[in-house]
Amino acid sequence: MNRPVDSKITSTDRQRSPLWSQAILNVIRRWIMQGVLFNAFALSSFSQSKLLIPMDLTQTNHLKSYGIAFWVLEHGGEVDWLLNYRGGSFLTDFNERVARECRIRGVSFEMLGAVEATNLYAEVQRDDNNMDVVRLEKAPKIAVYVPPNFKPWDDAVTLALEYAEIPYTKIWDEEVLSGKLVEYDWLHLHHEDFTGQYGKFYSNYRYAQWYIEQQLLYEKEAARLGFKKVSELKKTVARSIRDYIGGGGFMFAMCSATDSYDIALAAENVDICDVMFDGDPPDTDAQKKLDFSQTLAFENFTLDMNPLRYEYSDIDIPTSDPPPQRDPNTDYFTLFEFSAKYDPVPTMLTQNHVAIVKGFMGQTTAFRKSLLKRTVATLAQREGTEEIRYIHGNFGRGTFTWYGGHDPEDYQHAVGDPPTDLNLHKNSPGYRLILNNVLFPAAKKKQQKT
Amino acid sequence: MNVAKGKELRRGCQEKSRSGRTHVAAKQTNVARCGTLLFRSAFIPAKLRLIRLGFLIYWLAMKNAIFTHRFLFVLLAWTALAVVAFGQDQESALKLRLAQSFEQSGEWERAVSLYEQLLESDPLNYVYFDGLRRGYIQLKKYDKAIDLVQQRLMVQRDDPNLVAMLGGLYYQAGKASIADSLWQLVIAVDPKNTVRYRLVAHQMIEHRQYEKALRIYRAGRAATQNDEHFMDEIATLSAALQQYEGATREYVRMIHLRPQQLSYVQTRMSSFTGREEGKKAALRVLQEEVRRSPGNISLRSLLAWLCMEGKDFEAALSEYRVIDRLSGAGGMELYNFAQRAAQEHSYLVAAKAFREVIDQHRQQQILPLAKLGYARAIEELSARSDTLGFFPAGVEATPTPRTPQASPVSESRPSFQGALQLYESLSAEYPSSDVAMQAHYRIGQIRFHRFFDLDGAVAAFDRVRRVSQNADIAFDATLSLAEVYVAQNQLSRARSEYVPLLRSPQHHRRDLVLFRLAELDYFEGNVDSAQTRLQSITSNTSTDLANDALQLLYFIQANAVGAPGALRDFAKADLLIRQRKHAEALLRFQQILKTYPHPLLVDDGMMRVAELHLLLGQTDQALQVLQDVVQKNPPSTLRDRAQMKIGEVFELVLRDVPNAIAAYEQILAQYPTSLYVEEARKRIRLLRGDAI
Repeated sequence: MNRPVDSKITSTDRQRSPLWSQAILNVIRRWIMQGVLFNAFALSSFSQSKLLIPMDLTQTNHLKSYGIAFWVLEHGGEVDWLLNYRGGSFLTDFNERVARECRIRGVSFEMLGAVEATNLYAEVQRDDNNMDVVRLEKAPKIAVYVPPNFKPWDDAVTLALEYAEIPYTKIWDEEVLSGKLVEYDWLHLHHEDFTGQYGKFYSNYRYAQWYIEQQLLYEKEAARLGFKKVSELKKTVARSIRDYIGGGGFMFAMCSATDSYDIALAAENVDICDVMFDGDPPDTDAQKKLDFSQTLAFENFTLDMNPLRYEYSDIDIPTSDPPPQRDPNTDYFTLFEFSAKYDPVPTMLTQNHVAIVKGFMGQTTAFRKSLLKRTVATLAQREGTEEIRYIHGNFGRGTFTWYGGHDPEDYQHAVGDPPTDLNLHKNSPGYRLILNNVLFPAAKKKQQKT
Repeated sequence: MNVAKGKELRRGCQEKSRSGRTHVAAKQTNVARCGTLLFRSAFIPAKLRLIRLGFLIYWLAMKNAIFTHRFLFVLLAWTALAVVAFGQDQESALKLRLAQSFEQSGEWERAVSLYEQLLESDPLNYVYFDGLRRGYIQLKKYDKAIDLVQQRLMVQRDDPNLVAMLGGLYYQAGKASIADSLWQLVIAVDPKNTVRYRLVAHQMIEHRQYEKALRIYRAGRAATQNDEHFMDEIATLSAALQQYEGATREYVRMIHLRPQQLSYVQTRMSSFTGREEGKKAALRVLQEEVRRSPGNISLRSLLAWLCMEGKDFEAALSEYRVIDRLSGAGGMELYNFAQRAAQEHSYLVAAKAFREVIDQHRQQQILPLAKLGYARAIEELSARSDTLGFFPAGVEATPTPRTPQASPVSESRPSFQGALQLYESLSAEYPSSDVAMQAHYRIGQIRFHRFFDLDGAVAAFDRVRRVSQNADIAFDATLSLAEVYVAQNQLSRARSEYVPLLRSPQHHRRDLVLFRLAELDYFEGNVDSAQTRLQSITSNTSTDLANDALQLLYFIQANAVGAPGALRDFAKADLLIRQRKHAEALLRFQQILKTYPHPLLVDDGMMRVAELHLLLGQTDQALQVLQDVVQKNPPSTLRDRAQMKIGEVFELVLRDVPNAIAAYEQILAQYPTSLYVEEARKRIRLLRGDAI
């Protein structure tokens, strides 16, 4: 009974004949009864049975379901992501350890017999169904780009990762510049300002202790790494991240990390920071000198160089300064539907149990449609408006996915607001979109249907 | 231009006044001139206009003495012009409002255009000037902003605020050296003037030059040779720059100069003492300062506060000892500290402090309260060292020692016997007092709950009521006394104690008494009466008591019709549990299970049997019964509770983690909708060592 339970989940019996299975099953059952084995291996003889984690409205905890999928991958198992099947369900070999972990984490599951599983696969792969199976094979290594004074509740992604119990590593400027990004499959950019304007909080918070401390910390770090200005350091970091994506990395960003990142890339050869940010005035022709060929997602945007305005550019819509007056009860955005068999990537990224998701604000809430590059795919939009909430694109061998807004379950999250308790939002569709991204790099690349 | 017009008007009127000419021609000339000036004055700023018009009317009335028809004409003209002027005022106000609304909506170009027009019409108006300055800055037209301020400086020569502002504009324009020179100039004009340092530092802070601002404040202090200057500013800036030692030194300086600002300093310091490095730095400085000024009470109070913030009550006690002595408080400071330590559950330190008050300040009014506090601290320390079982009711009857303890009571060896001794001596020393009442009440509680010495408890609670100083304690004592009577099986006596308590004006107290009476009815088999009382309690569902009442009510309702005999026997067995006759109660329940195999009662009875086995230390039997509840009673609604109990026994009694986890997992697997699921999940994770 007390044997360590750290062995890998295997499915050795899948290929065996029924007789063999029965014999081995009997032996293993005896071992279990004798307390010799209490691990996954002992139970893998049920591997023809499948464990289905439904992701439709019957699921008790959608967010932790992603953690279970990740946990199975971490332990050497495989997970089939059933795109568009009951909200993008997960299917894995039945195993008592997985079942137990589901129960402990409060994730509901269903056990399928071999026949039911076969029928399910057949249904999902039928040509007339907009569904498909994506095999997840390897737990991606996740890095989150955050400053040292970061708290997990500052950022929705880390909040979601913590809640789903998906492990991640924190990295910052030094790690990025020293080339450590290649060690990770997936990079999330914390609510960061890559333009070097300290989030443009100057107008309201310039006397706040946290603002002063942050500025000093950043300046110190820039000096330590050999940069005269924070903005210069951030531009170099932005370029390193772009190289990482080009080399095959997956980048995910939310809120102001999205537009500020592209602005930093566009402003590679121009100073856009005012005197209170970097000690000297900006380039008088800053706008004209922007190089949009360097950006990933946006082009032809106009900078908002007023240091007293809480806004970077006209990419953000609605504008953050003055803050928009909207009724949260009527603010929703719609997820686009893609062909699971032909466009598996955007399909993966938009898996959800609802098609219409509750809106939420952020320093960057949504992206202006007219400023998106043509190569960028729109995944979600506020119907009837220019507001694009969720985008995806390729760069080199990698991809980037950007999601507007700050916290899917806190409509207008302000500085100093208490953290969101995800125990109260276990089925959050907005948070699901974040977690789709985490599993996306685990997908085995398969040949595209043509 | 308008300034010149105003001067002209003034000069004209003054010249007229000086000349003293009285002839008509001169009068006509004067009136005509003043009329002209009056007309022109309609285009000068509103305030000036009104003052000048008033002055003009006064001068004419005085000079001419008589209101001639000419003057009436002038007056009419003036009225017409005033109407025009009023219209222009309205136009300006409208423009200003428009400019401000453009400003708020971020349309700076339009705001600037309006401000320019407004300032041109009234160059001395500060509101227009400041609006235009803001607009130029927003539009990054630093050169224009600089020109604007320089023009203003022509009128308001050497205005330090404007010069400092100009420095800020040069800084924003990237001309840091000019900015520095201007700022230095502001100070150099009057280096003893603290306002000038503040103006300059403010500009520097505005432009994120925090360290420079700090240096300016320090320079100002040195120049004025006054340590009282800029304490708050330096402290705040130092804290923001994470120079916590420097910040603390400023606050210490503030305490030295104004000891009455202690609470203000504490508030300010708490902005950084919440951080480990901030707290350490502050502690280092304060300890050093206290060594340097050992007689400063406020400084020691600040140090003691810091120690308490870090939960170091022992160190805080050391400080309060000195504070008490230095301030001649006669133990009051120590007593207050002890109270605070007790509130923070630091009973050992609280006990020490109370004892010091008792030993060293015998003549004080606070002595009885200190003794009571000490006894309470000893009682709490005894409860902490009490290692009795985890089930709340699992306190076995232990005889009260009849002989006094050989060793004296002390906080290093706390015991309930020691606490009893302390309470007894308190009641003897201060008879007929509130302290005596509280002491008797605590004695009763210890005797009843810790030693199950029922006679001793009755005597103590009875003494509480005889003192009759405090109605609240008397109520609690009567309630407890009735409980003791129940334990003594004197149910009618208990009832006679409860009934008068129903007159309590407090609703929650009346409900509590009602519930106790309902329990008595249940024990005595009066189920109808019990149900009536319980129903009246359940109407208020917001109280915890309502839950208990509902539980008992449903149990009675479920069994009263189908198995009245079983319910009666069950109640009697329950009464035995209340009387802590556990072995007898166990036998009775086992008998009930054999006699009445009614399914609704069976699982409740089995749960009672399991609990009694646990109270009697028969863990294996308890587990067996609980397993039977789970496995042999498929329709039972208590199966999840029994399974949870199995997990608790493994976890808390047998310390068998794997089996505890397995038992909790069974709840998740078998009873996914149970109320215990979340708790089971939490316990599994804690036992696995997960970070949750």
